[in-house]
Amino acid sequence: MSDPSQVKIRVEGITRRFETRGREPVEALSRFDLMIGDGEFVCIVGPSGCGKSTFLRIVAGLLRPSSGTLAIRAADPARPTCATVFQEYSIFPWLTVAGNVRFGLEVLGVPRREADERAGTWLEKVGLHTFRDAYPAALSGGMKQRVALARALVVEPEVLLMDEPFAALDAQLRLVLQEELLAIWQEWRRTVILITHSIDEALVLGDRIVLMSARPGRVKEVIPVPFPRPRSGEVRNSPEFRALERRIWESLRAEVVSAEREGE
Amino acid sequence: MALAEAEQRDHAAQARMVLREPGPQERDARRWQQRRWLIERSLAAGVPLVLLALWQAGVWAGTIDRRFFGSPVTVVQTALRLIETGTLQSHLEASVYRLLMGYGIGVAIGIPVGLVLGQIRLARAAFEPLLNALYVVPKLALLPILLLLLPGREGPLITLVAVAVFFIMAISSLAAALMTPAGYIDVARSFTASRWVMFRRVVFANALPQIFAALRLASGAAVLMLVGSEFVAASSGIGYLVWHSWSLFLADQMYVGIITIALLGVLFSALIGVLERFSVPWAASEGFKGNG
Repeated sequence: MSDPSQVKIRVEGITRRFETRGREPVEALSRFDLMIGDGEFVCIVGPSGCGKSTFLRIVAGLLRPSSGTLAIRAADPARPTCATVFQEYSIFPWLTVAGNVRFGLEVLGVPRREADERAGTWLEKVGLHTFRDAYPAALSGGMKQRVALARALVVEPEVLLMDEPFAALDAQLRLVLQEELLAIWQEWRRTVILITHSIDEALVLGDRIVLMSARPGRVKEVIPVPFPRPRSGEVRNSPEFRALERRIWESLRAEVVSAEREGE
Repeated sequence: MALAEAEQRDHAAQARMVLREPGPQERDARRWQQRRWLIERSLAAGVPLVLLALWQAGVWAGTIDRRFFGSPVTVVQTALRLIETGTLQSHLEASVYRLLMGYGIGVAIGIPVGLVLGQIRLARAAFEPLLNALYVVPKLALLPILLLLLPGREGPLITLVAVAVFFIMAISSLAAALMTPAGYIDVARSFTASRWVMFRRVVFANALPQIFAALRLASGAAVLMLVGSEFVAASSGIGYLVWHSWSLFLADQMYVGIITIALLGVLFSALIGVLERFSVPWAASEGFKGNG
């Protein structure tokens, strides 16, 4: 289905400034370049305020760059190009679990019967089919993020964007959801961009890690993740994993410190 | 990855590219913002001006009856005359005095009552239903009784404004006090803050943004109540001017009064806005807040 030798997303010199009346413009992203292959799982890691989310929002089309271009090769014009899993508060409390998952399909005009069926399939995959008629208020944080994941995947996007999807979960639940995401992706294999603060998470999930510099954010380093697929959380046990994690942290720490110094 | 090669293939296959590019808004962000600002300002000023022009044109064309509706030109002439003779100022002064007194008293009693009710469960049980029930009673209906009970001419009018303001402030402050996040209360309690410190530094501070929203609402209600009571029970004030002019069939003079009331309301609300900006600096939500 995917061909990693093909470029899926080409990012050339993306810059994004935010202007506020009577204030100095803030440059969130600066001359950001990146190539992402078809079916590749890319994790973006960087200090707070480095423009990771800004970049993701540009890919998603929620925000336009101030300069530069970003091109996504859309193989199937009938399908949505991107779908996003946000960090928190993104599933609608006024819709049931099934209603939330169907939302994207309804917006796309998929007939009710088909939408129901597709939503059901994905709810089963994330293990929530028994909760289909529950309202989100009755769900735990982990379940809510599973709903958010199912809602994004059910529309069959060509690119899945994830903005710190597990950041609000406790450490144990994170591990469980990472494993679930791995299992789903290894079967489904589409292009994924995932933003995270956790080097560990990036190493377990990603094919490549993009390390960003402190604001204004640009690509500091691109690190290929050498562990073979299919992968599971077991990779953590290898000494290579620990060594790579340490090496990336050393590089990242300098950026985190400089982001903190800059303050705000 | 042989990227260059892959791209060549892309071109050959004519795949559709979804582009994310800067639009005019991003290419020259500063100019775009200036332009938008200019457009917004022109609309804000232009729409009332156009309506005034239509009003005047309607009068000239004869489709609007000038006996009932006056005309912008004659209304302005009348206003200038009323200012020259000092009539408008003296009415305005009477109204502003009643407004500020009533508003001040209502606010000074309403906020503490609401916040205290929010703190004390039993007091809330005792008074909240009563507060909600009395809130919906039209306060203007109390005017005859107040006129009978209270001596003097100003007392009943000021009281009525104060009562209207009191209910809005008390109910809003109560709701705001109840919404204090438990986390903040726990922090203060873990520092063994006294009840008074808790009240002032946590409950009141947390409620302040909502209290300001209520202050604005109450300013409108206060003007409304004042004008209503001046209609029937005063021989001075802008409300009296409007009512009196109408009974004498002086449409232009009536509109001068109505416009003065509108301006008074706008000014009052703007003053509260200025006060808010100084009192609640943390509620300012504009500006860039990066998240990753």
